[in-house]
Amino acid sequence: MGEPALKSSQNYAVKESINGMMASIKGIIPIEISFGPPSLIQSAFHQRDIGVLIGLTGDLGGQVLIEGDLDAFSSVAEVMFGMKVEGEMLESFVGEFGNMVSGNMATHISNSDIILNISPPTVVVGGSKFTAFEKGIKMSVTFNTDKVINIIMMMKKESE
Amino acid sequence: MRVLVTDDAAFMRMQLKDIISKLGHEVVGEAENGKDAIEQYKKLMPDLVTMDITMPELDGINALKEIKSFDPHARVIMCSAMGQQGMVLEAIQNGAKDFIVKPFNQDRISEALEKVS
Repeated sequence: MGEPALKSSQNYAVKESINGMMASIKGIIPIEISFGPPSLIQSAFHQRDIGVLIGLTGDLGGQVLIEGDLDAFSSVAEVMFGMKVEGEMLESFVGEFGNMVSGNMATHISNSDIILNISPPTVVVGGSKFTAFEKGIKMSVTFNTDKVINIIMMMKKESE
Repeated sequence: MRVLVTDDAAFMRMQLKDIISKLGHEVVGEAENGKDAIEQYKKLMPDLVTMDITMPELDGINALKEIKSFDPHARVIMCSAMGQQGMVLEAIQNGAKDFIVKPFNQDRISEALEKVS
């Protein structure tokens, strides 16, 4: 009885988090964007140039990874703040972008009575392999025709 | 006004500094976490503090409480990506003058500064 109820509430939290993430991205990036269908990841995930990790605690435990190439994040900074950003300032922007996306997602889903808190962002520079999760859900966000960033929600084991 | 900007992201501090300066105020200090903000507040005694919430070392809500206990007249504006009702209420109950949800624009910063000046 307990386990299915737990799974059911976790599935609800995951579904609402995906919806909240999409609403957050739409609200933050002020140009037309398109979302690829969410897909399940059950093996290691390889990051491209740069990414940001945000820890989630509360009704859903896990991490959010937002990753892409430098050019894609630089384009996001340009459409959001009207300026080209590079080097260390781009790395700082990527961290703040992760903070804004996750924070706004947490705000959106608080309307569905799901309480989430987020950790300060950790920026990961360079290609990296992520394995420490049981399953993840990946969403691709495309803008300016060919710029793509991926959002991966990495969930802890359901029994934890 | 003399303003202390608090945010763990250098990019965000740069944005805030740029906007606040354009609005005719002076950014007298930059803090990268709550602990740093408390130390700089005591040293600089600014007219206003902008305070992020999710930061390493010490978060913005606890830094707000410390600053208000040191100086009950301190004017602090929260500036955070976390805009849940509970978070906003906690900040206001602890003496924050306004709560700006990121991302922000110059108009929203201007409105907040006018409110406290």
